[in-house]
Amino acid sequence: MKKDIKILSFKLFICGLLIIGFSPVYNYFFYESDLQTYSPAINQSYAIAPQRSEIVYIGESSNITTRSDDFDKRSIGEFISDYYPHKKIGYITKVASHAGIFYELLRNIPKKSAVKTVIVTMNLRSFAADWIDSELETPLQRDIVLLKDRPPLLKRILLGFKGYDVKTDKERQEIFKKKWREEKLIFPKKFSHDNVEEWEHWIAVNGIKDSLGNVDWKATELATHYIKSYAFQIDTHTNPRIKDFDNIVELAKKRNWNLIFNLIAENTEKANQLLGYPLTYLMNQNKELLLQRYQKNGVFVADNLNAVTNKDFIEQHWTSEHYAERGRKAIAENVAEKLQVFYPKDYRRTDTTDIRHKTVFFNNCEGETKWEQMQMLTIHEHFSGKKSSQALPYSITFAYPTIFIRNADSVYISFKYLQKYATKNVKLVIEVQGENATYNWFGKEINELASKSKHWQAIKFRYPLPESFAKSDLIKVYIYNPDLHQIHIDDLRIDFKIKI
Amino acid sequence: MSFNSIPFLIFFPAITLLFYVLPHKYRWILLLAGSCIFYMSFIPQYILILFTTIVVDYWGALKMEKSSPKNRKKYLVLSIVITCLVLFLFKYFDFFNETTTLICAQIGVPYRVHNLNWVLPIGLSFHTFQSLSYVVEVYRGNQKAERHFGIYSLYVMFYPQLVAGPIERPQNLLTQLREYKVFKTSNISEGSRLILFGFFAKMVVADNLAPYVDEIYANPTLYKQTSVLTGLFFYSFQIYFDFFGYTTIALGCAKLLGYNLMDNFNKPYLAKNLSDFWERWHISLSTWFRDYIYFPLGGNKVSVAKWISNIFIVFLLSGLWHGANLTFLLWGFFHALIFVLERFLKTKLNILNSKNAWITILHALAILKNFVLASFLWIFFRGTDLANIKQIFNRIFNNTLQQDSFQIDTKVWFFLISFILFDVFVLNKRFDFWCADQPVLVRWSVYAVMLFSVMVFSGVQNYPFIYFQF
Repeated sequence: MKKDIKILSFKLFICGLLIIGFSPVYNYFFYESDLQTYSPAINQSYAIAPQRSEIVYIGESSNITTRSDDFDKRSIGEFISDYYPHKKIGYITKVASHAGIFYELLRNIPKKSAVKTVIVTMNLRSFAADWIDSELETPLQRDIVLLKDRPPLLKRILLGFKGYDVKTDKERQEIFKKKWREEKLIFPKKFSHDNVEEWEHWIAVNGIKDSLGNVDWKATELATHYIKSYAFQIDTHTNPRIKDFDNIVELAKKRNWNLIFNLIAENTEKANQLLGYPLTYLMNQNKELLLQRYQKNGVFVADNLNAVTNKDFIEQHWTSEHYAERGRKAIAENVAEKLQVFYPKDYRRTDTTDIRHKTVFFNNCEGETKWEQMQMLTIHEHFSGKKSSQALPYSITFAYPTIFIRNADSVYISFKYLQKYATKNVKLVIEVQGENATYNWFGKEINELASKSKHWQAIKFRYPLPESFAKSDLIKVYIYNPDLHQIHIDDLRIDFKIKI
Repeated sequence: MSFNSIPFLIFFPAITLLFYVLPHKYRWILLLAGSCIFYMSFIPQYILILFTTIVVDYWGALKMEKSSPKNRKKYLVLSIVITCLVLFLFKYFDFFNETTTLICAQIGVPYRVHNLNWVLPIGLSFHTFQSLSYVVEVYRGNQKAERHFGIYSLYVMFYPQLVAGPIERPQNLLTQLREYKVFKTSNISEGSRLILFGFFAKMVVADNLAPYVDEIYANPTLYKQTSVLTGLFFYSFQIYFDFFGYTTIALGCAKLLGYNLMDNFNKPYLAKNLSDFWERWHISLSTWFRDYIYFPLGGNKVSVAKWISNIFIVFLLSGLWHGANLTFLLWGFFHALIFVLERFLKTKLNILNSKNAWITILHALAILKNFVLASFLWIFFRGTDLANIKQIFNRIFNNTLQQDSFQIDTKVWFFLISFILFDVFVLNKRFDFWCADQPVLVRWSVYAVMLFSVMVFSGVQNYPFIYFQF
């Protein structure tokens, strides 16, 4: 027995040595590649130092989502930089994420950076039960395993052995439905529903009535979403989001950063329209709690909860924090004003309503210029820079309101094109649409413009705009690849020629 | 608590350590308590269901042993009915209810019964079959009824094989559970080796194949013929390495404690026909069906027509065992059909038994044919519904796409091919047996490569073991 234990101990010792030996091998050969594959968002944190950014804006899709009729498709962060032209602002955007993810991304900003101020998006809905345990939570938690402050090999082991918050969608649903059932809602006045489940059920059964007294089922469905998203009262002891923001406060103290929480807008106008006082009471009560808690901790909170009107919310049939241009600008303006506390001399009042009339548009497919279908950008091929756009089946898409270019008579489109195999059916599409204009869809066969070369080639095309263009609202230009062949485009330029 | 999870990496060494520290008479308590914790880590309240079947079959077996032959049958039927009723309610009721609703709607008969929508307890089909094998063996007089309720409970609940087998027989496991297990380094070495190999098969090979398979089955219309074919061959390997991985870890965990579980696989893709395949694939289930369904029906010692019907009964039940879904029934049906056809062709042609100079090539072709056939049959197993299956076949036989975006990481090919070559051509026997015969340096080099691969190259997405759902 003693001999057996000795042999076993020796073998365990060898295993331990092996694992210790694996660690530098992993760090040197595999860690960076794993980071790029499983946690690519870290590149945004790393980029902050070489950019010499003094201010960092971190957010989710609210920062970058645009509406097709926006003239200026820049993000909230970019609008803020208009107010501080002499300050370098860096941006970190991770869609569908929350403060727990922001914390890890901020923690990974190199210590030797120029960062002095951090603006963190605070999304009220992210404190709700169905967001805390949304189906996106498991992949989000997986994404940050490699970002944590642990030895790289240990992080990789945790990633492989699912050493993070892994739950199935069904398990998560059960958790938040239990909260909807069990968490009691407390109002100053008597209210007929004790919890989310009861309230939502009552609305779903009785419906929201229109001015004629008929049930509006679309509004009813939307109302149930609003209840599920906003009918909660933050418990500062148990809500994980509070812990995430507290961690960010601690991190800011440790790194000596100024901190601003940007409490972004919710559609309180629609909430009031659909469900009235009880829901807006809860929303505002939660807002007050967050303001008090964090202002007490020395954090400046930009209160934008009611800053955006209903018509500037992109999604009208869902709860979201996606704003049209005016909404993003309104939020940027409030945040910029808060920033004055730290940079009083650098603040420049900017007229954000100014629209620069452009007739030439260019996208180098590197991701800086935001068009539609940005998910088509890929690093697999490029003509210039490091990326190009695929078309599966649509390429990145130019979409622009025509209001100031309606007197254009033609558009020149040029781009670089790569086909890996002989293609057919690939089209350059120009769409013109508007309430008062005849819908116009024009598809030019790429084969008629390109040679059969399997190398990058330049494509040029002039399209005489149809008469209806003068009455149109929107023009779209993109490549359509219905057969999903492997094609790439880069350096897309669109030039409208104005009638003189 | 899945095998490939951090809690299990803490749980099982702790149980193993305590097992050897405790005196023999208390070990069953430890293992039973550990098995309860393991099972309850999935859905805690479902332990009551397991407890119900344990009580019923324990009591039924005791009664059977003391009763006259006539009453024995009565208790057997009672035990089987109650045990199968639990399985039926949780697994099959909704399927039969929906089918009945559909048929009644077609013929205009009013029928309205709501589905139960109960979540399926993990491993229900496995431990139900293990319990059934116990009562049948007691009924047949091959096994004495277990008087110790704790030991019997442990036989049903033994954590390494509780949720996905192997489906043990009482003669093997129950007997071992009473034995005194001495601490041996050889058991620890063999067990650890098996666990490492199992982790490698599941986490490095199966989990890295899974995303490609998922993508093809989720969007078959977006991919061209060769990509869809790659996806379906990948699934053949994914399901094999996934289930083989689980079984190997189970065998390893049991071995660490000194218990030997039955083998569940014997290189199934080296089978030359479906009959051969079923002697190599999920052996504990196929022998269960053989011993408790096929033989009692008369096996092959009956008329040809009856034999054919026996084959179809067994395969349709096997399909149904996997899931209450038409797709699984079709999978069983086609297995039965091809099984019967192959048997007729084999007796007529008798090619593989002849002493032909080309016999090696013929064998290789037969293996290839069977692999392709099994892979095509997996479409019915993996397809989400009939429409999905139709899309897959349509894309394979009616290709219209020339290119697509299906790209496979070189690492995946490397692990798949090296594992296949290693498993098929180098070993020709179980990994742990082969490894034990190697010089120390070779052995530890293999361990090092596998350990490193498990740590560094395992798939990152959460893919539960495929057979957990059954």
